[in-house]
Amino acid sequence: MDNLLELFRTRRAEICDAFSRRISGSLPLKQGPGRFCEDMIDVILACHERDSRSPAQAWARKLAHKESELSLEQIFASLKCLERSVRFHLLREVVQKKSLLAALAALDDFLDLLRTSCASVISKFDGSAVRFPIELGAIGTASDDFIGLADLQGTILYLNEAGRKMVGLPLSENIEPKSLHSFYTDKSWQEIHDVALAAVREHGNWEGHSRLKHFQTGEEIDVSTKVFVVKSPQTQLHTGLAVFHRSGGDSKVLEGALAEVEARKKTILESSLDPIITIDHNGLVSEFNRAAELVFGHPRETVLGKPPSEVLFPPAKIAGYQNRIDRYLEAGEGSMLGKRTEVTAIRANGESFPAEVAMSISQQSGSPVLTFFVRDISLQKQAEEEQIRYSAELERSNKELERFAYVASHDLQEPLRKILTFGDRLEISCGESLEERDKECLSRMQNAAKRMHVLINDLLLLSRVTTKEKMFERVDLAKVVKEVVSDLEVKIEQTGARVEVGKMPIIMADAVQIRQLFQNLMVNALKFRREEVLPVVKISARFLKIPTQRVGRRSNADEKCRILVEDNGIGFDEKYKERIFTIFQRLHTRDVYEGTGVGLAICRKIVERHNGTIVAHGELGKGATFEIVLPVIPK
Amino acid sequence: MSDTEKCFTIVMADDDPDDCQLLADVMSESGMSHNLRFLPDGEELTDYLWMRGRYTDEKLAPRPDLVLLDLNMPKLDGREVLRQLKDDGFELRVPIVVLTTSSSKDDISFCYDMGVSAFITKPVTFRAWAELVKVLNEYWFKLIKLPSVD
Repeated sequence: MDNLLELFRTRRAEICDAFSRRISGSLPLKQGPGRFCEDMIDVILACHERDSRSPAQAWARKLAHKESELSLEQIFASLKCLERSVRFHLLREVVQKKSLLAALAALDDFLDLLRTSCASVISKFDGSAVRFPIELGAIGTASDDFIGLADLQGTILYLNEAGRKMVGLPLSENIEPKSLHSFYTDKSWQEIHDVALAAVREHGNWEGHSRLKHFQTGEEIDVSTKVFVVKSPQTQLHTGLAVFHRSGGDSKVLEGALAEVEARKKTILESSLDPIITIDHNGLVSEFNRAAELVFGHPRETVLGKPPSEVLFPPAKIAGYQNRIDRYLEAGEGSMLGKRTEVTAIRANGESFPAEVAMSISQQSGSPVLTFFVRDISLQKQAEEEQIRYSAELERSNKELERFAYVASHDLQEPLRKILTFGDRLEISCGESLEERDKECLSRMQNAAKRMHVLINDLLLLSRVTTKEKMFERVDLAKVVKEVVSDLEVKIEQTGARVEVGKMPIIMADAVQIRQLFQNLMVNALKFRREEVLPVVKISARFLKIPTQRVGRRSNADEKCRILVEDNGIGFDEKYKERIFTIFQRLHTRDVYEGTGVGLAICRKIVERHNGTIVAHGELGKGATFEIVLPVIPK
Repeated sequence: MSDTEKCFTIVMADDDPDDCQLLADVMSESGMSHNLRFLPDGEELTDYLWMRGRYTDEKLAPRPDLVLLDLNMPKLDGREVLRQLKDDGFELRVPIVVLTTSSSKDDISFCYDMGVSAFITKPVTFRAWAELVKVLNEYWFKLIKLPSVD
């Protein structure tokens, strides 16, 4: 019952859609099939809520008034159509046999209510003589139920096809002289006569069970029975009886459907690649699919009827697990329910493995049943661990490399300094007495040593970018750029350069490194100038739009800014745009442009340390642009 | 004896014999006759300063007027010496000039935090050494008043 009502609430649109498709314009409905279906569902829900037949009766009256062209047959056909749509959903969605049966029975009741309401209103009566509308004869084709109409004396006036079939009356045989009495076993008729008809007179309807008698074979047929009184819409006087029977044969259809559901369940169970294990209310394994056999290594028979803690999830490995299972079984609740949880499971050969388990609880014949969906994650786990180990190793070796670069360059400085110092001393003390050629040798040695000194210093600087502790603070880029420009004042004046600085943001960064970044880029821009034009360096910045930006409140956690440093210098061939960031990589010989080829490598390292990116664009003879994207607040 | 000719005691703690020799050479070549004491590590320096071990006799180990301290040394390095001086060296009242190969910001900040008088990165050329010694002499022994001078 609850399942049915739930279905009406949650699947209303689908049911109405299916209804519309099934009916597909064959009914002359003024309001459209979807609306018609909605109305029927509303009426059912209203009847349930008020526990009354009056909404159905009101609906029927309204229908007779509004949709007067609609025959009873057509109304019955549409009710049948609704029934099919709803049954389809019920069979698909209600897995528990008991609940399904209850829902289907409830559906029957509601539809009967609608049918009889319509029948009583739309059938036209003519005074005392009972005359059923001609369309009623066609109801037979629309229903699988026994539908019979009789006058108040119990003489049968109409019987549909299904009814004839049920009791073995060929279509050719006239039913008119037959009395209702002849359809039932004596005992059953007694009950109908004494109990049912009395109730019908009193309340207008009766429900129960009775036993029909087959006219040909004499076979007795158990049926559920509903008897309604038929009233004249004009006089409200009782004019006849409507009798509905549904044979037990219908439950065979139901069983067929259930068997189908069961078979489908079985197929899913067996074809699942992941183990599925069910535990009954005694806490014992009641289902163990093929995948479970493969993963755990236990044949199904050896596991069934055993507690899972004994064979699958040993309590030693997962303390309190059995307790928790017990709790779920008793209370149907627990922290693990419906969530994926990692547990240690054990195979038949004693090997333990990590498994992911999702649990769901359900009812089977009134008892709680736990279903475990298990996934062997040992391979994932292994891969994960390998990944972690690999990245840890990578990080360690990176750190080591940086440390090495620092130590090496630091220790290399020492002997180099000596070479420089004592070379200098030698030049001073005996420079005068040396031959011109020897002097030049000494000077070349000194120059080479100086250059190495610069190289090592730069290397040291580069390794310090990452070995240094992260100390991010508020940095006003406008101030930083201003300081850098002022530091380079002499150079700017010498070259006659113009520096244009736009509006700069404030970001969280390492102040010293950001300054270094701008310094290197500015020095580069001034260094690689074209002789024939005055250098122009433009520095600008803007915030990047965040895609998920919320209106009215800017969350700057993901906010980024883009900084451009553009010059009109010699530029470079685009094919070198990656190479220029590599340490010691240079595009020009030293005699043309001084430098070690470390400046941009440092820039990239600084930017990357701030979780940003730096790329270069250039055109030979036109200029270069460095584009930096930095998070406003690096993580 | 006038101040210019006065002989001061300079203790240089440095494990690099080349640099020690260099300083001595430059001083003598510049005509200075200060009393130079070279100590190879931080342990020797702290013993000297606190008059321990071999340095208990003030005649053999005269009180320093100025200490030149290297940072990277075996046994006890310069940073540790500075820490000890900051904790217990209040009464020693001796100016410390750090003379090291390091030029790192962290080292510089650390040393001044420890209360050194000056931080100098060792020069790369001989000429620069000569200039350094000249300036040190002018500043510490002529321009300013040292606490050790009566």
